[in-house]
Amino acid sequence: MNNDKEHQFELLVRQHKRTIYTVCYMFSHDKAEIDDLFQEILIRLWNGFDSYEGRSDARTWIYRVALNTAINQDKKERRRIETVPLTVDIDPYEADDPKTQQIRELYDRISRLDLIDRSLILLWLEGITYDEIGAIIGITPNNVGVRLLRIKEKLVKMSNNE
Amino acid sequence: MENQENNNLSELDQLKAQYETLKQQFDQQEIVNDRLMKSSIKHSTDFYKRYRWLQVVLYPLLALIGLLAIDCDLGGNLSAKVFWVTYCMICLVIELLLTRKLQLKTLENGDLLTLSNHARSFKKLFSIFLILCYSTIMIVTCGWLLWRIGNGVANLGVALLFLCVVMATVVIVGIYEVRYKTKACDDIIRQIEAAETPMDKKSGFDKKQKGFIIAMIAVFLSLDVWVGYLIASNLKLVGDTFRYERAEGDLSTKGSLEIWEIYNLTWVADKARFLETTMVEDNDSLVYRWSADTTELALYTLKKTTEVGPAISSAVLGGKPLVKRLETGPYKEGTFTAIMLELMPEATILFKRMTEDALLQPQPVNIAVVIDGQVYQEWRIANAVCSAFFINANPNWSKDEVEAFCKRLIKQ
Repeated sequence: MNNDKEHQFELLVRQHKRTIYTVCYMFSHDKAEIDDLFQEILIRLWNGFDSYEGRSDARTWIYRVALNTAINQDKKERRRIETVPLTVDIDPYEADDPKTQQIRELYDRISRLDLIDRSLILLWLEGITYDEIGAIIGITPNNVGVRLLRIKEKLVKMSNNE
Repeated sequence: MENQENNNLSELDQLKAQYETLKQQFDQQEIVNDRLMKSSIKHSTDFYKRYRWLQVVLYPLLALIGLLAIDCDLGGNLSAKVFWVTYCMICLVIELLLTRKLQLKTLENGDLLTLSNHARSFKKLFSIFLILCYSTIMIVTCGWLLWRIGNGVANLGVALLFLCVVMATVVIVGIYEVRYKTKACDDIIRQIEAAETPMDKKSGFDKKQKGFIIAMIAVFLSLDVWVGYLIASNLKLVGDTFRYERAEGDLSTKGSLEIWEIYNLTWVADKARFLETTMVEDNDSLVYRWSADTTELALYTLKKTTEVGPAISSAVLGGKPLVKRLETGPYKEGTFTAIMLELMPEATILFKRMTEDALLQPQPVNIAVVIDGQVYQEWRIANAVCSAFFINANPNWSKDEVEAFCKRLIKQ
């Protein structure tokens, strides 16, 4: 029974690994921090796996836990947990190939936003509906629209100032 | 204008294109490995679990220290012990209920703004709890110090100094607790607040939280009333304690009162046997007192006289009274009711002379109170403090008998 649950959890995590990794990347400053945060999110997901039980969309649930954990990150506490390095071939902070450079540009823009705006734009880029974004952030869909508009303006302004 | 819109569109298109690249790049990565999965599943720790061990260890430890202190300083007062254990239990339960607010459920199922509102309300509720909790501690400390001053165990200066130390400790521990336990909340609030609109931000408490606050205040007020009653009864302001004091200038006496030191239990034998007198010093008088229990047949030697006459008696003081003040409680020793007896200044000098050697002995000093030649009771000096000492009333006496005895004693 327990092995079955672990298997289901592993499948879910492997299916949404990119979602978690993206959140970790956007809320961290280096690879070590990504490793720490990724593991912290996995622990939170595993702890809440029983209560999740497929009641909501898996992607929405994973985003909710991942963003809550990223915003609530307690670096000092996370260091107490033995971190297992992730199996990743690229270093999104250091590599020089054109694709990674594009990713880094995206990171540079988004990381300059505050935490809620960062979460909003990530969810929007992921193609999540305003209703779902509202449910994750805790605001109305209308408010999501207004905020996204402001964020887009902010991003353009940042780009013009560069 | 059109240029601006075009700029915006190209900016967002660029952003989306970059995000697509990120998705492709990250999709190609393995990221999750078996070791990572195993390690994560092993850690079934929740958000505030790190505080739990502290709560579970701290409060029982606090209760234990309090119980030991009550045993050492308040003669094992049962009411004080029950109060202290109840207080620690209530604090533990409230703290566990409060920390549940920021548990895993909120992280999994709550949205970001709910989390920040939970953090905000936790911080406020925790601060209210600390104020109520520490107020009770201060009342307990003040009451204890008043009791010590009232019984002449501590002087005002030392008590005030101790009070300052306790207050400073409470303030420092309070600040540390608020900072340590609400640090995580501060981080959440600070990070989310910047992006919140006034509509998102919940001010004040909801109905459930208000109910919790009212219940918390009611519980702590009850505790304060309880401890207030304990303090008042220990200070003889309320309760079943008797307190009699000789009026200023009243030197009248009725009958004779002598206080004898029981300096040796000579032997236990039947009545036919000769008395063992080797331990009796010169000028001592012997008083035979057979135990009420006929199977025991205990005989006591009482050191009745000194060079100047009976150890302590109204006769030695030229018929002057011996007792200045007396009261019952708060000490209890088994079924005995303790009576605190304060002697007149002249009698105190005699008492000290009689007991100064004996008090140095490891065993407690025994004395006997003799009213009009009748040995009333064997007494043990439980604790001699300044001019006062405690004696234990006959365990078989009722409350009325203890009171009648006290009234008779004060007239001697």
